[in-house]
Amino acid sequence: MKKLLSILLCVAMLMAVVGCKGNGKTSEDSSNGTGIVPSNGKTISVAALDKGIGTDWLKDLGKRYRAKYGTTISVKSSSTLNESVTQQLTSGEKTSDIYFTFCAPLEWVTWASTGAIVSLNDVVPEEKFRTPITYELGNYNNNKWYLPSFYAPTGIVYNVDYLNELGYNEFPTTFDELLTLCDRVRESNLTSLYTGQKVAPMVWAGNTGDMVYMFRSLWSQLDPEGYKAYWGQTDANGATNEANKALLVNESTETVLARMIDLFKPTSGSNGTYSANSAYGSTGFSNIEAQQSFLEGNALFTVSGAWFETEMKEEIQDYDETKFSFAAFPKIDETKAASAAINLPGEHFFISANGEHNDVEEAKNFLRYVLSEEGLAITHNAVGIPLCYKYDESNLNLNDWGKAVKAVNDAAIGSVNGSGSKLYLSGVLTLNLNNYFPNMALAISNNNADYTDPTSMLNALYQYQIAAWDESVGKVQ
Amino acid sequence: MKKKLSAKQKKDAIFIYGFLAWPILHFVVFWIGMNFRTFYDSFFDISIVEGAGVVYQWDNFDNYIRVFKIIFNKAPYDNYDLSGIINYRAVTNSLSLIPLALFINMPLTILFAYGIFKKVPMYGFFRIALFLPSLVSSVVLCMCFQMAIDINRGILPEILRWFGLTGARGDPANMGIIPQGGFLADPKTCWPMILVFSVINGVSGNLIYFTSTMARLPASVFESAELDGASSLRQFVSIVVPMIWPTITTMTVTLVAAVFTWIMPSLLMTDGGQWYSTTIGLMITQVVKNDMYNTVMSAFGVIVAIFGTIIIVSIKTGMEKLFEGVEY
Repeated sequence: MKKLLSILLCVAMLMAVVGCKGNGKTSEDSSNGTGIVPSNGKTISVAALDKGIGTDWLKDLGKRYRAKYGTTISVKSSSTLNESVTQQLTSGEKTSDIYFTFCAPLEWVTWASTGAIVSLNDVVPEEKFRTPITYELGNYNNNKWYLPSFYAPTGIVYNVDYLNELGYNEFPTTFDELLTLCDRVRESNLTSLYTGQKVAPMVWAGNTGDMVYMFRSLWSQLDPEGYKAYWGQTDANGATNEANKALLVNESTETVLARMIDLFKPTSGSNGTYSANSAYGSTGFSNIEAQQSFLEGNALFTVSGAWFETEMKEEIQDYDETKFSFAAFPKIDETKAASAAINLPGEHFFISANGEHNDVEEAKNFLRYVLSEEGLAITHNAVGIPLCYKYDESNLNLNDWGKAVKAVNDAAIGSVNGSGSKLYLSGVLTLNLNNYFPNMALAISNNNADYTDPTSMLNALYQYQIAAWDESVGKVQ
Repeated sequence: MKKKLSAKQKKDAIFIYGFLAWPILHFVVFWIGMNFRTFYDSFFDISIVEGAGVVYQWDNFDNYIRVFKIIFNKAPYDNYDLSGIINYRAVTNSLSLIPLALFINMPLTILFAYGIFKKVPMYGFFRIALFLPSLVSSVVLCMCFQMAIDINRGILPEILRWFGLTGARGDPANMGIIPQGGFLADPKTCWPMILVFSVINGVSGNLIYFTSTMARLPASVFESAELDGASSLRQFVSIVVPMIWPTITTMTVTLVAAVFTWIMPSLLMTDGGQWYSTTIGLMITQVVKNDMYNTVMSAFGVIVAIFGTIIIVSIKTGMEKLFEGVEY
């Protein structure tokens, strides 16, 4: 009797397993013009970096893809994926099928050269990319190795209420107006609702170098051709070439640094120099700390990007009295359009050559869906950030933040710190400015550079670049 | 005549060699193999050649020359936007940990162990309280320390404010002795604060070795010392320290060796390391993580291994010559 019951139980369990075939649709179902043919219960795994923008939008797309095409998309989020992705892809072990993360150019070029990732030439046609540079990024050896994702502009996140109290309807559009606004803030009696501290003009991340977004935006606003020429340089002997030096050390970059010093307003105090326009602690803040200080109401504005709302969504709920919006960096040259440094290369999509499900074509199908009209619109609606492709943005259902970001993107010319040049891929052109801004704010002078003098700073930056030139220039040939 | 092994001896041999096979294989792969490969790579430059993939090119001693340029501040060599952590400070910071370990951490640990051994008032509480940090994750300890010195929320700035050494919160014009941006943002105060953390944290882990060593010391020696009128301090200097000298030597060697792999506080407290808080271990780890084909770091590793060995062997030899081992 017991034996009979056991056999019946086994048969019942077996039938349950057989019954779980998934809800794969038949091939007569439409692929909605994406060219994707519904699968029969396949699975694709995606390792996604969970930072800033998060991964909820990707998981949502995964569920939609499964409902449409029958393939299960398993998204594994990790906030440290960028630190382990090289080890994963080069270990020889089976990996996730798709990766969504950022990495240094030299890393993905190495993966491509060692066959750790597959080319993505047939996923998105060239004409679908938003701009030529978004297509150029990720190309090497006549193949496309990654697909960029978000076209996130950087800019100013400002406190709407404070601005209105000072008599402004919109954030200043020129740099001189910005400096005047900073003076008004310092002279005002505005105090933070949450901390009781006097409101400072700005709070910024001195420890993580977010002010480099302002530097890049202002440089590309003043001299868009010069900016592109710097990132696109190809002369491998550039370290000894004065013309090469002029790509970095020139009137435009000197003007930008001079104006940024004006913005920091280093001032002598009873205990040394401090930045009169910066909130308490700015020179040592990480980007999260600076953004949190802004939400606490300690400053009128901070420097961040389109990811601000998604990255700080929990803190925004805690500090719900703080009303904020997004604006482009004010112009130095009023005769030209504003410019916004785009956070590219940011996170990209790669497909592993050694994916655990051994189905590169299905992985590509998922990316085709993510980057289709439908997928792009869904994503843009979800996170409020535009993407690197052309799609219909007129019918999006954006919140106020999303609308402000779109307005900046539409009005400002996007500038990208990157190109397809081998010099750039080698990692020679990094513009290592991170430590500059705290020193500029405090008017430091030392053996390396005089941080009160733009020419001295740029010369030091150039020396830094060429000191490591020989070691890196041959890394990608 | 060759002796034939009995069945039992064969079984024993299979057991012993089988048992040792895994650790030997582990040693061969992860010590001999890795170090040999590091040494080998240090003489090559690795590049990505379009169409050919990863290519090794013989580089003579160029990598070693680059390393000495970094050490003597002739080149920053930071191509990965790592906030300049490849610089000479990695060496000076790491080496500064040696006197800290030898002349502050170690003496403090021995003193605290002696206090517990001598059963000072509340010794039971001290024994637990001083040992507790070694049970807590270093990540948590770093976070707690960071929070304690945070200029907006930390207890240390509040204490300084109470003594009038810093101005009101939120007033950048009057920060007093607190640097703009906080202690960890200023090159002059960041590394000293990390050293302070190291002292606070460094006592707990080794305490148990010294307390257990002191517990083994014969009571008769102390009884006769007391009969002779020796004070606690005299007993400590003339009896305890010489008798536990082998333990002190062993712990010293361990501490000095750990200096070259020390990364966590710099990594955790400065978000990946700034140029002024970098260490040898952090620099090598971060660079190789971003570029596994970086052979300059291979050369760095070889040089650190050579000089580190010289330093450690010298310290060990010197300490062994100071006092002879005491049998008891």
